[in-house]
Amino acid sequence: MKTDSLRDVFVGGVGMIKFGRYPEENVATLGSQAVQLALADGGMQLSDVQMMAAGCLYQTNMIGQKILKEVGMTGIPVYNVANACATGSTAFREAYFAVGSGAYDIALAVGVEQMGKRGLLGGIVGDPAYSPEGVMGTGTMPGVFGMAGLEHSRMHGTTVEQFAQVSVKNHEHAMANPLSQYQVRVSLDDVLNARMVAYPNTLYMCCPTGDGAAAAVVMSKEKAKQFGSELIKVAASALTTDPYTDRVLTFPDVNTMTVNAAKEAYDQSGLAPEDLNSVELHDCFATAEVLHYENLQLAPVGEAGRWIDEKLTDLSGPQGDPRWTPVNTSGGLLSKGHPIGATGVANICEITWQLRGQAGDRQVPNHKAGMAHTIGLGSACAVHILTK
Amino acid sequence: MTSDTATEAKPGLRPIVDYLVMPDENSLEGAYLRGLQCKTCRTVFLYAPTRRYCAVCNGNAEDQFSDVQLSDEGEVWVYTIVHQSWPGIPTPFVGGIIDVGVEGDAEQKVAVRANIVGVEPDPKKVTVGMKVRGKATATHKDKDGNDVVVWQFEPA
Repeated sequence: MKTDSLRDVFVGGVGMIKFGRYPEENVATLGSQAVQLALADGGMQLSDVQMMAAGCLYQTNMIGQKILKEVGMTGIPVYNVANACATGSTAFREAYFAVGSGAYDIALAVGVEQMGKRGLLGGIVGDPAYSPEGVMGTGTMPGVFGMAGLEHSRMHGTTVEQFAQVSVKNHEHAMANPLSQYQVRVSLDDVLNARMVAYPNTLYMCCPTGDGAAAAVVMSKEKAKQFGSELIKVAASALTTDPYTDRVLTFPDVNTMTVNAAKEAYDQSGLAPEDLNSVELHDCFATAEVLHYENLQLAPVGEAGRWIDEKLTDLSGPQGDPRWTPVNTSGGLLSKGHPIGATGVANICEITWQLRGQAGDRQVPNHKAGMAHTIGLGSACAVHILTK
Repeated sequence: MTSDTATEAKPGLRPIVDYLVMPDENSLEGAYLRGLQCKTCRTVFLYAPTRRYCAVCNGNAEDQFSDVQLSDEGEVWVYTIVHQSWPGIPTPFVGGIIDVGVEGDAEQKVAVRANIVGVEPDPKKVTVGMKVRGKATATHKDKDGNDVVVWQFEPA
């Protein structure tokens, strides 16, 4: 897209609640807490916010309004957003455009989901006798991403152990993230021996379901200075859908649209992959993370397995190596959790904290540029780059 | 789903998807997968009664598509072994994406989602690139007593 008529947009406040399970709450009360955290973080009032984009996949209708009924019904324009697992990112992008266009000076993006202990997403619609699931292949998420992993294996020899190591890494990263749904170390053996869900994804290689909310306030440079925010710039915003590729109508293609979105983001920002200090990418399943190392140009095509073996995306990896770029310092979806609507905004929170030097024991030194990536099956891919 | 013009059809065979065709409603004999081929860009889609336009080139003429038959023979592109599914679905099963050819057009392939049967649900036994052959099988009944027919692949 053309960005020359857009003005620069800055992230002035972020906040998220610890992902987990909150049966006594509802999507509005979860979302409202994230909104308050983001406002407090930025030192602004709700009355400063001029536009809101609210993302929630399973309870999209009026989610923004329900949140305003909790925090303050200011009458601002609200977009309720759904884009599968790219919902939160899409909401963030709406807020970005609201300010970038010059129409608004301060906009709020909030993402929320309440999934409880839902287990496998989806389910049989209509007459079960005519559901192909289980008798004519699988469309469940662990199965689709299991197949996507094996596709990478057949092309590049990636091993099950390499996929499993992603889960070890992300659970370890989460030990330094008190907002992660799970803070549990798992060894490679733990991961490999866990219950198989859909080969090669075992239980610990599948993200959990749960509840969560995250919010971000974006604003013009003048407003950011007025509120005394460190200038965290949205250097790129890209959103793609899956173009037609072989097999896409039967076997979702998560790669091509990610490649396209990443290229656009690098182009918009003028940055190269080696300029990134960390990446929050869509590890809905351990197999998925591996694919995206290459899709996002963090590793050359075919080398993602080596990137894992050499710990080039691990906080505990070789910091002196110019290729070292920690991935999912937050713990990723695998450990932090994946309340669907919240995830895309939670990514923005993590990158913002990294840029500000507020990431505690998971801080990447000299963090100046970070990337946030989500995908949603059906399909959509969002990539944002934040810089300071 | 097939439509019943009679108000009380005797229980028979019913395909689970629109693109599985049984020329003889009372027999699995001669069953095949049906495709729609775009006359402009030659892409082949799995048949659906509602496909009006081409998802590749936006071809939208009245007669944009021709009917084609997919080949029984295919190759496993990828598979997974599903151990956890929705309630009521027996596991484990091998779910795959199988590339099949198109009768009369050697350049086209179509990806079909189906179970791979006749092989243990074990990654040491199922392999990518396996040559397979498809066939129609009745796997269960619907609430009216019809046999529901699916397409499965087994090692060729």
